[in-house]
Amino acid sequence: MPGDLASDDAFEAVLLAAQSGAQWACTNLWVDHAPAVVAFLRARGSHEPEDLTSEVFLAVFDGLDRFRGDAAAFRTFVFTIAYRRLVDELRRRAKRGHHVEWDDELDRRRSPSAEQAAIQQLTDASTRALLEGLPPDQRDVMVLRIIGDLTVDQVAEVLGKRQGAVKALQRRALESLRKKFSGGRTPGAASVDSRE
Amino acid sequence: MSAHRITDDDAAVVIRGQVPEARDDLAVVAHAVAVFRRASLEPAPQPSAALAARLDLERAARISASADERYATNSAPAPANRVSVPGTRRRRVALSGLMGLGLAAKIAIGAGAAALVGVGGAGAAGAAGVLPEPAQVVFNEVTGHPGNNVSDTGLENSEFGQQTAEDARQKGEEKREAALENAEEKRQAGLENAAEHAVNGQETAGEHAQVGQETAEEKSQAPDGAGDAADGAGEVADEKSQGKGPEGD
Repeated sequence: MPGDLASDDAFEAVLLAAQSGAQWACTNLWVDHAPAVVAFLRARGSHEPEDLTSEVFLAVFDGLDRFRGDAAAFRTFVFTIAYRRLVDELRRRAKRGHHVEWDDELDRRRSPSAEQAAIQQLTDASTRALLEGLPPDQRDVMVLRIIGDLTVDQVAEVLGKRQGAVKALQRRALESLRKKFSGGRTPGAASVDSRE
Repeated sequence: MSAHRITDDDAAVVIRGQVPEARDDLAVVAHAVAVFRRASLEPAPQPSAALAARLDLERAARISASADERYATNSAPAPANRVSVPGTRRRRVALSGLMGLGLAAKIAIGAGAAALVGVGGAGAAGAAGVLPEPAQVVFNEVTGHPGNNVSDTGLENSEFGQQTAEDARQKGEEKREAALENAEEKRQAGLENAAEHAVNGQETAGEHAQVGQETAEEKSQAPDGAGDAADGAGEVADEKSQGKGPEGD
């Protein structure tokens, strides 16, 4: 497709500039990928997805010199780093428990704006509706496929699994969801069970 | 139907938030995926201080907003069960990257990158409205620029051309200002230099005048000495003439 060729070429130009340290190009890569990364980290249970996203991109920019590939390969590269950072955070929390310092912004007793609250509720509800009850490896596949917008091959690379294994996890996740929703529960009306 | 195995093709469709053909049993799952995908779309978060130092935050806000606006505009008429593909948004921002290229970078990337996104030199110049008048008229007729029926790509290319022309204009302006500043600095430096030389010259002239005056005074005192000597010689002569008298007697 000519449009894709054009965008691939545009990506190469942006990547080249970012590799030479151009601020505008790093900004473009950030604007292009950060929303999906932060959504992925949030959906997979990071407690500080914004901070972790910044860490991910610092690592991405530090590793740009070593990166070779097109836009799809770059997206895989970004999500591979994001996934590793997420695993690190989850391991750290599992090992020593999780201590949360009080933060005015995070205090749920405060009333956020109606819009913020609605968005947060919608996100939480839709996340719970889709991911609740799925094992972690199936959640990884679903979130990377849906929010990360990655192909099966890309997900396999990010998770370090075989393509067949990713397809099987995806199929099992969809089977579980079909069973769950046909059992009378509708998406968005999930219970308030704990997320990961 | 509900016992049907979910094939890879079915899964791919459901993951996009769409219902595979003749698979109504997957409609609710597809709907849940679509809701999840939509609800998860959010703008880029606030970067940490360390990351912000490597970004252009003003640019981030600008292209983020424009991409979101255009994304929203384009996705509005989509069928209800279709989910906008994030790739569309990514492509737009990537192209906006080309618009942000510096003049040198654009030249360096040259025909390869620029031509593939449909921006030849004439295209950029035509879009910027800087072609000679007859050529501009033809360009407008052929491309429809700057009419209303411009495709997305055409619009992006036009923006790219305008940006290129604007970059060139700004560079020229910067160079002109730099040259003016340089000339002013040199003029100022020349004036200061001349003033310094004038002061030095005055001082030197004053010193020379002083020395000359002293020398002249010294020299002007020399005839008095000669007078004294002459007086002395006269007195000796008188004495001698007086003494000669008695001797002669």
